[in-house]
Amino acid sequence: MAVERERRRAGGRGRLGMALVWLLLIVAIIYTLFPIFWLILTSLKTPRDIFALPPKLFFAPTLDNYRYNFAQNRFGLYFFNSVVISLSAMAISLVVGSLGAYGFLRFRFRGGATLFFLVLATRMAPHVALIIPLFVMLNAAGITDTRTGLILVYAALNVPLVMWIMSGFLEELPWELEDAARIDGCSYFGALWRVILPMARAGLAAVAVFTFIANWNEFLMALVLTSTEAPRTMPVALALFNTEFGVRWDYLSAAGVTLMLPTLAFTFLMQKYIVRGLTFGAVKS
Amino acid sequence: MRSVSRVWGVSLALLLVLALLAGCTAVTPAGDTAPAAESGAGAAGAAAPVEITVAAQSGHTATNAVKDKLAEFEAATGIKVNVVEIPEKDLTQKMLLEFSNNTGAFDALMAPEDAFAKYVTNGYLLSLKEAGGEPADAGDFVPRFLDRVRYDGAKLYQGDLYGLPLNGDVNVMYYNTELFTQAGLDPDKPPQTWDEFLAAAKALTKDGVYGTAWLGVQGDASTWAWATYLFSEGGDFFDENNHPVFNSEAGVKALQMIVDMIHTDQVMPPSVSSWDYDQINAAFPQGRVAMVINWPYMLSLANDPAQSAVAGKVKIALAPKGETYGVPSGGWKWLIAKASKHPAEALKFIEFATSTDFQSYMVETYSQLPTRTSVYDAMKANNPDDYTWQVWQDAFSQSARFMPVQYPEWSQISSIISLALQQAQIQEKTPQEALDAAAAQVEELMQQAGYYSQ
Amino acid sequence: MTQPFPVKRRRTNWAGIALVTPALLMVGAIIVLPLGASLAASLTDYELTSGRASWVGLGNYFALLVGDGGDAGTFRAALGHTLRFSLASLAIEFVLGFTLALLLNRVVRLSGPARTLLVLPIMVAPTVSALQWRWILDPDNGILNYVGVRLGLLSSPQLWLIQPQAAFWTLVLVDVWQTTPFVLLFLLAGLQSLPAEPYEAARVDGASSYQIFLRLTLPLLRPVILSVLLLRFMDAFRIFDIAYVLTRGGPAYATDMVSLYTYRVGLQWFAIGKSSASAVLTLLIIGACAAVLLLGLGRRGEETG
Repeated sequence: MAVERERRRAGGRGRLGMALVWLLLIVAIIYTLFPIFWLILTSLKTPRDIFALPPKLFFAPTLDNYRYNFAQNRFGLYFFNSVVISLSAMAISLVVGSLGAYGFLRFRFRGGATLFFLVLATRMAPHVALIIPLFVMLNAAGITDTRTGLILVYAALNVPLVMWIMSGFLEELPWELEDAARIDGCSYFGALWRVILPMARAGLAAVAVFTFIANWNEFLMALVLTSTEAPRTMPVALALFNTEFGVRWDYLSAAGVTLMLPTLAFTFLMQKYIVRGLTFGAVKS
Repeated sequence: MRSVSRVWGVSLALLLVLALLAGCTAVTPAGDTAPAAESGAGAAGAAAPVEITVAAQSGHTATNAVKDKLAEFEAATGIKVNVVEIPEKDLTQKMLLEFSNNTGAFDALMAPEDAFAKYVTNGYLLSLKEAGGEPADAGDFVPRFLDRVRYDGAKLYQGDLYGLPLNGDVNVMYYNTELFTQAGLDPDKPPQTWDEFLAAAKALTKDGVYGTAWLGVQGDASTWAWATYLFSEGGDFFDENNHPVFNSEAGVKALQMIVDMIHTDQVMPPSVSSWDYDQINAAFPQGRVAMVINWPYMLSLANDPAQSAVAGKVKIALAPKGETYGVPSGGWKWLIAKASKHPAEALKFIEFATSTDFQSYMVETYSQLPTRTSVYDAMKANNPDDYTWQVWQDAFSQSARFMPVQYPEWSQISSIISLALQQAQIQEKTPQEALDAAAAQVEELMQQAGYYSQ
Repeated sequence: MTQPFPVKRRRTNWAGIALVTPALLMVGAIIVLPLGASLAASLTDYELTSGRASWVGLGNYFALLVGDGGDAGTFRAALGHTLRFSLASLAIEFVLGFTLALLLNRVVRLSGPARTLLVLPIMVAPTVSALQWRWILDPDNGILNYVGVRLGLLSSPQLWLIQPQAAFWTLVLVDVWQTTPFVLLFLLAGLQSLPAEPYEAARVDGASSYQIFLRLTLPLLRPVILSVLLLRFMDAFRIFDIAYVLTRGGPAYATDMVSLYTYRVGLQWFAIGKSSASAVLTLLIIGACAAVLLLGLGRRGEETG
């Protein structure tokens, strides 16, 4: 409907207005894309091409940097770790967070509203303040330097955001349907599973994208809470190229592109839900 | 229908809670089985080979040398070594966090000059005697390096060995002979004093080339690099009563010289106050800076045709003399962690990584300086025409000084000093103001730490 | 339409408790408990490696906020930079994100691909984008200086990360690049969910586009705007990755941020007491600012709405 409206308006304004809109958009897109373009270009250069002045736009591209990362640098393992950790943590925070949001919305507790607000407020916690206590705690539990430890931490860090967005989204759902299902004989959980969950799909997809990206790109926690290579994630591996004797721009750029690909793929996969999910979730929160 | 789905729902919720309480083992089975397969069988099982975990700085040439040679060690001893590379600026802090929590994750570790005091005085290291005995050929190590890993329980740099020296580090001057010739300078007569150095730098600065540059970035790199200027002007960081004296006349002169080279003489690039190793490592091998004062690794880097456009046109000489000769020196060490579960194997590993064969390889491949007399002698005997051995030897004997890394507070001291260097470089303060403020701050820090009553 | 809490009174809340318990447990164990530990540590002079810890009460807080001496000055300066940084990037991101959302909302054809391209930066890890920007802005090898000088836009190569003012605004620029898409996505979603009827009515009444924007769009979007500003403010105030990679607080701590300060004192010098105090202060300040934002925008919304 909004699109319909704008179409009419744009038609009224004529082509000139539209051209201006596009001009501005294209400028914005160039500003947005250039660093990414330059990253990809750098990843295909040899060190000598990278440092050449004037900077080279045309050169013989090479995949050596990628090959080095995967063949000599165990990027396969780091990549696998990142996937396992990001996805597991995402799944946990999604389930826990949306059930929590649903619980707080649907049931009345004494002090429930305050508690809900406090949970959301924990999103303000500075991560640097959490790290050392977390290290000590995870060490006591025997799960420093494991994927399990990182998964738990990432999952918990994202719960407030999931609850924030999902509660806005859930609020807007037509609760009558759930009541109808209840009358038809479903339990709360039955109704939740059969009625609410399918309707909440778009919201979940949007939240999934945000939590996945946050997990996938997280650096500081991963650096401090892991020690050996077994649970090492991609962002930490990337930091290895910033050595005392200089930044290896060649390997680093290739690793940066590699790091970007899964988030791209994941976002494209979820693409059609994101704006729709946020549309419900954010607007009415 | 109703009761069935209620049961289902409640048990789902319970399962989640249980999974959380149980550390999520049920949720991530894939995550927990794979690393075991990756890193070998590890503990248990008498038949399984012992595996030790070793922390190394990523990108360091010594780390690369270990990775190159590891298979030989594993084949010879049957010990499996898991080398964990840790990003440069995080190595010491990571180790301290591990040690203070007694995680036991690492058996041996590579440590820079300034980390040793902090480790050993906090009791985080195992002496070689406790690990199985000091090596029989310890006498082969050059004493000035070997003493840097000694501790007698009260005093540093004397007593029992707590590790073995990995390399010798000292600052010398690197210069580009081709640019020298083009500027009408004699490449066989490098500048010997700061006056000559400045004159040469002025002559070399043209056509987009700068005469010199330094590690101006805020951080440890600049504190160490500044030491060359400070020491050679006759200055020092502390007096014998632990009072900071780097704001002395010599200190101010040393910093003023750098500020002038940037702003007045303009023989350093204007961006030099942000230069870290990576900028030096790009600029000098690209021929865009003619002279730098740096650590030994630079020689192999600058002479490697794959990485350098000036390969074969680089020579070294002693860093210039002011009131005296003076450059910082130090070296990396291999140490054994107190919490190691396999100290004997860790000892074997660090002996291997400092052995004569290993050092020879490291010297030839990565231009690191050895710590063993036998390797020095062999290198000199095998390469009689190589003038560099004389330069290194002179650098150590005539000018090398140690940094005040014996203070556990050194990382804070260094950060205070490097801030002053930064402030002077961007002309926020004069060298005198910046160094005075830094000295006052260091004085306060030392007082709080209990070095003097008033 | 607005029926905020469709709450049902249940006889028993067991199901509800079962639903919220996992969330509370996780957040409690992994966020609240460490925060509590930090709070406790902030009242001591705990030093990690030596294990020394004695009670100092509010000493750390006084030292940071009102003490003299270099370090206290450093914290207050960092606080100032962080506030300035958060406000600057929030303002720019909001204007830019809103403009782009409005533009995208007008486009009919190809709006999908255009949106996809515009949101790409959120997918790049902050560590990577910061390094990439450092490379682009490099005074000697960077493409920006080269092209700028070549095209005559710059008189000489600029020292983007070396002059204090330039370094600060470079940080803002990179943060804007990285997170404007987030603002854009939220606001676009908001725009696309606006009801059509009020707009038709307004147009029948002959309102100008400007009036419609001011009187209709802004008030209707208020909740989204509030959400996005809050979320972004919290993240901007905690900026770490970008600053750590790009400037590390330099030159001469001109771009030091509270998170960098906390990190330096806590994780490099292991002065846990002092760094905990700095972290607690950060949390309190974010909380206070968020409350002001909520109250301010919330009240204004009620007046118009």
